[in-house]
Amino acid sequence: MSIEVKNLSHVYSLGTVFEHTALKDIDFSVGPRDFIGIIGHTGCGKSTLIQHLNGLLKPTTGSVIINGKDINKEMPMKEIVKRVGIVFQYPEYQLFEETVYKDVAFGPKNIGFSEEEIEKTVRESIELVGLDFDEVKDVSPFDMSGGQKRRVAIAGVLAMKPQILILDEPASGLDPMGRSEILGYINKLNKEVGICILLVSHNMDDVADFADKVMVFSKGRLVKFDTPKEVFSDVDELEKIGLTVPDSKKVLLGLKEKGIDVDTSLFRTRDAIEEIIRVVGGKK
Amino acid sequence: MSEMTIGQYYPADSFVHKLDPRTKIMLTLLYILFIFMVKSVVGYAVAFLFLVMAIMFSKIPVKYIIKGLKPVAFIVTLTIVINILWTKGGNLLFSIGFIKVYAEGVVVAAKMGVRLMLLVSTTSIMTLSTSTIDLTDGMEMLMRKVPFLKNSAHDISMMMSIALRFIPTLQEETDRIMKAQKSRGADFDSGNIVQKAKAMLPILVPLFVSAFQRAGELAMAMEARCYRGGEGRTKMKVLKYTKRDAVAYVIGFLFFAVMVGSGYIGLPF
Repeated sequence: MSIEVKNLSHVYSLGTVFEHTALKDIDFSVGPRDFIGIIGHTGCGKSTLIQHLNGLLKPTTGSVIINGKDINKEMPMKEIVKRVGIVFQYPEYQLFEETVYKDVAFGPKNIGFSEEEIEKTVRESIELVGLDFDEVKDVSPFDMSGGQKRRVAIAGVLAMKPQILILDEPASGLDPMGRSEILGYINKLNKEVGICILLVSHNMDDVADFADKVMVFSKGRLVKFDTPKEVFSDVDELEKIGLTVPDSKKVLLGLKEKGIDVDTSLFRTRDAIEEIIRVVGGKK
Repeated sequence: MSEMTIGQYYPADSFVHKLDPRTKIMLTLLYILFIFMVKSVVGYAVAFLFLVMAIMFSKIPVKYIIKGLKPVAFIVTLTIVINILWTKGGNLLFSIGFIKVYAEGVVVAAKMGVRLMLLVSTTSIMTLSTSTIDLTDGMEMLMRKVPFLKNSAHDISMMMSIALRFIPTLQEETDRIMKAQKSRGADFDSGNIVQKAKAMLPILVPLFVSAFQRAGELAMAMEARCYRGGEGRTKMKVLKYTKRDAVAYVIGFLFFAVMVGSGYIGLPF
């Protein structure tokens, strides 16, 4: 499973006074099992891009190719959403059914899963997001807490068994505990189930902690697509486009400035903690 | 839905924009009265002339007015067709089977069509040239003069302004939910009418849930700022009539009086 985006541009309201170029000449390809972080300032075209990846928006020019097929020419919508799942921002607002089971079953039902398949996939997806199937299946999603609702909504997309899962700010508005739990499950999906993840986030730490590669968007262009180590190596460059480096890296840079000899090329929270322990421990 | 012109404001610096909202509302009402009393072609010509003048003085591009006519095109067409088919009188122009078209029918249909279009165009000018705050303010002040509306004037206008304020928000929300459900394989375009109606549920339920939530939050926010209805409430911007409004009123009523006096318009019975 791979996604290839070729020379894609998108112009809103083409030919009117409100004409606005949201994306310009985007080229990239993503392989199976990748965990990609997508970062960029508000209004940089991230949301527009992800909507192209499952056919919600049609490119003005260029194409999106999944497994060698141009999705806008050779694939009906149902075939696309079977392969590419999108979890939008605040997905709990899409819940509508009376019970959690029915809501999670909505997607697989739409794309023609059989009764048994639906039962199986609903159970699996609910457990994948860390909820107890037997406990929640008959509960109304509207009676759940915010964090639980969010998990049910993510399960609703997972139940369609996509090979590529795109998440737009999946942890926003959650408490720190909920945040790290949700992100942990997403990481598990990638590492254990083998789903390719595209994670859109404003939070540099989330991206740094989990992504294997990072896309940086600015003003509708893909300005960088590289390893997090490379992307987060240039603080000034990132700050110029309204972004920054992960907090853990900021701490290391601050220590360095104070004359403590730490490795500032690290960017993951865990690595930074270990590095600090190493340095402090060494002094003792 | 985004093509709706009513409730959309077109900012410009013009005579009409600067008029007091009350003047605009009253003159629009007068105009509506006028076109329902029109008896002859001359009357329609004058009504049309008045509309052209209003557009010119408002500096609103004609394009916007025409866009406002689009949503009512269906109703206008329906009215015309019904009037052509059902009115009997005058010469029989032609007949196909049981359908008989009379001269009178064509005339009545044309009149109705023109009437409706003039009506919608003027109302569009009013809403395009007045911000919603001014509009509801004007309505409130006018309603206070009406005996049986006096006590609820503030509540009604507050409800109107909140409703207008939330139209774009709800449009955005609908769009967002629709995209989310489409990503879950929902299909809104195929199937018969029952299936299509059922397919709307995954949009309507979340939309209502969030609308109620928003309403609750808004009520809370208003109470937190000590909102207690209209009683004793003063305004930051008090509406004041100016010389401009006097001019507009005089022109409007003068036209009306002359037309009534000369018999071009009058009560339809």
